[in-house]
Amino acid sequence: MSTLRIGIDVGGTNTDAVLLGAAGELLARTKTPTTEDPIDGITKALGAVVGTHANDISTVSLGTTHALNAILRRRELGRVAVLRLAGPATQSVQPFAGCPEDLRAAVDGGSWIVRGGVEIDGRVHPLDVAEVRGVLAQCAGVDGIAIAGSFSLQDPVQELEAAALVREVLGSEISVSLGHQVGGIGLLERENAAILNASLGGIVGGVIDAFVAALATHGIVGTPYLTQNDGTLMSVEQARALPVLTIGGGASNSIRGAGVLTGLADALVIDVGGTSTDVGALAQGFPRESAFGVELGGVQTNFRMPDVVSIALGGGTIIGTAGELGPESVGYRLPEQARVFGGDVLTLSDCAVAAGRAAMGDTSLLGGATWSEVLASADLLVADAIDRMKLSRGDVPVVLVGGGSAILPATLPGASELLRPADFDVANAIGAAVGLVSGDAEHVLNLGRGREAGIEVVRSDAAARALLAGADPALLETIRIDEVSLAYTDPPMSRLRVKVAGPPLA
Amino acid sequence: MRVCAGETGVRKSLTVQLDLSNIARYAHGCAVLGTGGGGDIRIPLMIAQAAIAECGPVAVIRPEELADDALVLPVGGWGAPTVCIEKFDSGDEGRLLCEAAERWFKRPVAALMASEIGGGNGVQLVSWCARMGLPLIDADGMGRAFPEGDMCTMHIAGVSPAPAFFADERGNVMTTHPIDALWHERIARHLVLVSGGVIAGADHPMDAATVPEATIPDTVSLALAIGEALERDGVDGVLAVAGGRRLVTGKVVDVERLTSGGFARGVVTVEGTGVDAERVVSIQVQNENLIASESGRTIACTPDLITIVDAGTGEAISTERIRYGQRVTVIGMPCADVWRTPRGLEIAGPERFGYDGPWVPIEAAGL
Repeated sequence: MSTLRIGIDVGGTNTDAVLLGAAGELLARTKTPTTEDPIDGITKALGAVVGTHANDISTVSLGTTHALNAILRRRELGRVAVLRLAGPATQSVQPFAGCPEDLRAAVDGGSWIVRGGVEIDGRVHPLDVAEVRGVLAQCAGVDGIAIAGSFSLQDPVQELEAAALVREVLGSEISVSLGHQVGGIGLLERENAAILNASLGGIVGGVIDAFVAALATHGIVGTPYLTQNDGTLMSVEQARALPVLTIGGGASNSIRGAGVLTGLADALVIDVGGTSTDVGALAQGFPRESAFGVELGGVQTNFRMPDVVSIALGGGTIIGTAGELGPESVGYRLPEQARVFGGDVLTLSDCAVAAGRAAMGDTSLLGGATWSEVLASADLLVADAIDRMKLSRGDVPVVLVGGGSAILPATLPGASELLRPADFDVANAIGAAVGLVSGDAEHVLNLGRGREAGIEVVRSDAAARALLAGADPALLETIRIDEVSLAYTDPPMSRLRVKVAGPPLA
Repeated sequence: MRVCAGETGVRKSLTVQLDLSNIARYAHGCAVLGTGGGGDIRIPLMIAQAAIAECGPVAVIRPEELADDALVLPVGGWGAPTVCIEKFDSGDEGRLLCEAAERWFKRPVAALMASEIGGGNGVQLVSWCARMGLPLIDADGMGRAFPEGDMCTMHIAGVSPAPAFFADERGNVMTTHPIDALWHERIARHLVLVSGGVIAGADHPMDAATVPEATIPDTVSLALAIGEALERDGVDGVLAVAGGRRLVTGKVVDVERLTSGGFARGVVTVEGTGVDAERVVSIQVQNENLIASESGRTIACTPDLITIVDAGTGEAISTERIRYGQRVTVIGMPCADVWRTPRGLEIAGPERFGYDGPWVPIEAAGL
């Protein structure tokens, strides 16, 4: 019976993988170095955990940094033509405004603002079909088309109409990215999301092909999924259509994994690596998201990423001669360069060993010195990050994960308890393995037309997206409803986001 | 009489134009003067940058540099900030407003002026100036941001809002002749709805000779100086340039949001940290930050300016972007003297917003 799950997380240093049993118990785990072509490390990690269970796997979830790296390094990006449906409104800021020149050089396949757009009250300004056809005639040879219209989240009808025209003029092979499918409120950010999405079709498509081939190599029968920004999963079909949503899986996976390892739904999660420490929050079982959109490779988008405070503090942080903390780190060279391992660099790990917090290497190499002031100032930084992330004044449970978490003390201000679960160093792969499948929708709600009915519209939109992503329709749950009222609207309006999620369809 | 900027010597360092090198600093200064409202500066800044890149820098002038009978047009945007991030300027609005005014007055517009310097409204019109080749008057009608169009110094000075001109991004142009400032506000709100949530407007047209007695002088230079000080010295720089006081530095521990009458109302509570430990300051919000109080005692109150800025960078945080956990400094700045007159307080004092008076000047708080 297929009841086992595999989770894989490709990080900057390591590719981690786990095999989980039917009850979520850890059956196998591996850490291998991330390879130049990450797919080699993925194949190797799969081989290391699958053992004799190739026929018993129900799902294989992959969190990968391929798409993010392509954007950051401006490599393997497709050329995109941009069609904005809003004219004559919005002509004062052209597509690609604010985009770094090198990214634009890699991606810009021409841009046009054509007549059209939807109003907040639902009125639609018709497209000039001849104008759109004329523009598309100039788009031959691009790898993808990004289409974004004003208020397309209110009514996607016009983006869909334009997409049909693209198919008609340029054929059904070309990749078309629609703003309402990839972005939230904010036309420029949504347009940027559609542009990035259209430019990532090639590279993410290649990763998916290789991932599926790696599963075949090992004879693994399970359904493949990719993890996305909010820590949930999507099917490979949806990932091919919406590749940009795979960019932020890493931090989310750690936070989700910490929840699974401890059984907590609400907690802070401190992930200590060699160089930096990320403090994130688990809220109702999911990573709390940033309140605002993030910048990606220099481009403003409206993706919500996990809300994380990062501090330059890790196991490899170098201590200066006057006791100053980093920010430099010996990183993955800790086992050669730290004093406890016979090296000549004083690191935070050495201080932790001297204080009895951590046990590693040869304590006698430290010569009996203690660095209590160094540790105190490190603890203060972590306590401050905890305070920044807390949602209320009371103390909260804190889960420690990541290879460097041994440097932290037994108690921290703001933490009601510090939990150090077993297998804390593969929490990210565990988080990927147990991911739910979700759908998100955001609308501006006209409260004059009835609030409950409006919420239902947004909820069913989110549910439709979750089903497309591969969720089990019988087990969908509403995870979150966020509502913000809008100023100067008559009738009163609010901005509503709904997230629903359920386990992957077996 | 000139207040604040002129007396603090800001004038001496005035850059007499807004160009690509200083427009972002200017916009951040406008955000500080926005007291949490006035619209987000991000898209207006992009619009202004595009227009300057295309058409060149904008000259900033004093009204005295114009002939007494030269036509000065106060302009600004009306509408919902959320609409502005989905549909924004075509870029033609400034031309449509000027042409409408010129058709009526049968003489050219000599300069534009911000109706409201605070927030995006202080920034958007820079693009119109650039595209029209018109100078920007170093003054405005509020010295900050306010939620309603009648809360302006031209109203205090008795300048009629009529004729008022409106243009939307589709090219519709409307001229209205409201009988007073309140009717002007009422009519404009309806035009905003017809045009789908945002509209560009010009009102209280004036001769250059009237500008000094009906506006707050030197606010463009002040915004630029605040932006420069912010970049250089963070919060301390802002306080020095704006004559402001640090009301509290701490952490946002509560954000209570209510909606009534089309306004985003709420209460933001800031718990002091460091030297302010044990202090708790709450701020009443109605689109803008209106009253700051501590232990039931008012420590700053509209029309004085209250702005919440990032404790680290000094950048202003608009009302919609305040979130639990942010590390902030709340700063208070004295408003222009004209707002402290009985008529000014009637139009923009605490009672106007439904709070108990009387108004307490920020200087009396003893902070």
